[in-house]
Amino acid sequence: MTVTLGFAEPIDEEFHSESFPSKIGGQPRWIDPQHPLNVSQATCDECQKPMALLMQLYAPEDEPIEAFHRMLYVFVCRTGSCHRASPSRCMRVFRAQLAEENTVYEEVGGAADEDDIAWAMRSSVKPAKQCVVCGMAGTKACSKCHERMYCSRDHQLADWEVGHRAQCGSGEGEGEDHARRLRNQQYPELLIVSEEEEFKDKNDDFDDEDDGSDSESEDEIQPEDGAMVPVTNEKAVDSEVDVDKAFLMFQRRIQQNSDQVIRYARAPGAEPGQPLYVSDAGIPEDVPGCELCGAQREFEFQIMPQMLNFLGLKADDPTSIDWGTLLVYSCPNSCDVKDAQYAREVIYRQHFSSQGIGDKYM
Amino acid sequence: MADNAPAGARGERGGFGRGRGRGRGGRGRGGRGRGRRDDGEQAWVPVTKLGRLVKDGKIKSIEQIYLFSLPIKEYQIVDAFLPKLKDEVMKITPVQKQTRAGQRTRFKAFVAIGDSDGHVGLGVKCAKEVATAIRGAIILAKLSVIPVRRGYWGSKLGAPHTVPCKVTGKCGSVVCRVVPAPRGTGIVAAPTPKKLLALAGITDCYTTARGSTKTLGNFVKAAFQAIGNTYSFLTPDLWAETAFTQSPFQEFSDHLVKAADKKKY
Repeated sequence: MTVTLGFAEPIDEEFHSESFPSKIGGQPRWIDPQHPLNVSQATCDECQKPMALLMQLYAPEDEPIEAFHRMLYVFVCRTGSCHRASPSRCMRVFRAQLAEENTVYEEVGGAADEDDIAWAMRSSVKPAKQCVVCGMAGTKACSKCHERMYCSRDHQLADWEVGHRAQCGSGEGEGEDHARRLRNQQYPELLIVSEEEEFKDKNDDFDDEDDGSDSESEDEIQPEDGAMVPVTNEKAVDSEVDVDKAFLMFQRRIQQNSDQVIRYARAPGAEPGQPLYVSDAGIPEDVPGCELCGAQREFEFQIMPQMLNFLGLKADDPTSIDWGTLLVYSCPNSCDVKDAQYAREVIYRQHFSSQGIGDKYM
Repeated sequence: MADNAPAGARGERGGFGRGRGRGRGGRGRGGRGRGRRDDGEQAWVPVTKLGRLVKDGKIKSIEQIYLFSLPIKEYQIVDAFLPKLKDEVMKITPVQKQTRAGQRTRFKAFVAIGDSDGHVGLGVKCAKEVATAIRGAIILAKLSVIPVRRGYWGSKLGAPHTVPCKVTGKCGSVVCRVVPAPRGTGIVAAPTPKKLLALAGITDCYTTARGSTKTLGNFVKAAFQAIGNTYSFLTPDLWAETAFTQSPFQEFSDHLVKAADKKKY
């Protein structure tokens, strides 16, 4: 089962013209700009504030035809203390998709080489109003100048504080400082590039779980040893690390690509992959089925803890967001979303275990 | 699920990174091997919160980690604080397992690591090749580094040189006891624990061992446990009440405790 890894890279010029980017942070680029997500769907249950986009992933499917363009959005609450609750309260995953023939995009680019196909937005498409802070549906406007749209009161206040108060009604646009501070309300924007995982299993010494059954002879086994039994009957107390095997396997797997941020395990025509767990606890069970079509959800991709390095978190903030890994399960049929526009998927979180290696000896 | 796309269609698009519009295989990384240093080692990308704190330099010494008993899961954390660790391979034994097709031999490496100044670790790893076993054992040894408390035998002149009190450790049938000794005695011990005690930074001590010390695994683990117990022993000079400091990672420690709870969706 091949896994595709995602890596974070700085944004380059091509990024802005891309219709379907995969990225970390920034404002969400909606697959259908006429229907942005409504903030009521992405509000943290703990603190009632709007969530921020953690990442979006463009994951097209060959079938069904409605999923020709398919985007997954992951939102998280920026308040770290909300994350002590269960992940369903402070994190959301949404799936949005479009068929190949749709009213939003048209093909451009050379048809000679299939790889050159690009899509551009049709000129008839008029994007709906988006909140200037977070990019979700902008349903409220500034009461004074009616020029800036917001999704919620929280963001209206935020924009007011960081610079709109100074230029409301004056007709000029955002200053540089203002724009920069608005960007800081979201996570830093980075591109996600993909690469297939190459995992060379150099040290396949993972069959050492069964060491208990080894007949250990503590003396060096010399060919000239006449004794058939070990000189001492004493067996060494099992010295294998039985602490947190899952974590050791996780470390081995990521060693060769230590800066990976996404592991994507769904391949067309193949069995869905198994997630790479970080501990033995917290393995998801009883994954709820898809609300729309009833199919059993399958594992699609996981977000690695290395992504936390790219979010610009303050290191010594004790309440900052933390996870071992985030597992996203989604509908395997990519069922049609129709009017709701965004289908909710489920996300699980695993933390690292609190066992250290030293515990074994104490 | 997905069958082969019919001829004339655009081939397989499914899955992240294989979409059209960005070329085959999605966007590749700028040059394979980007970020690799010459020796083939990649820069450390921390995975745990403690690792991120250490990489940012927010933690000043490894003692802060010991104070709050935070688990160290990445060996690079230990490397960051104790760059002068010396490792010593104590023994490599072949171990065999009977299989239908004969015997399968693997090598078990015992590695002790220490800076001769109060930090020591022990790692045991079994692998098909000796080099792999040693490398793995070194990493495990780094992860198990433990502080060693030293004290005085008699008058408190100069730097501490021996264990603060009689400590004992047991593993299997081997009981290893380490007893304070006056300055200048040196380490009076069998060669195996002698190496470990030297790496710990204990200059003088007497030792006593009982049981099947021939089993090196048990003997060295008993000695390791004994010197680890130096900080678990409550001596009269620790009787004074300490004000508990609020760990800057207080939230972090709390959530680790909760991590054992079953996660419900």
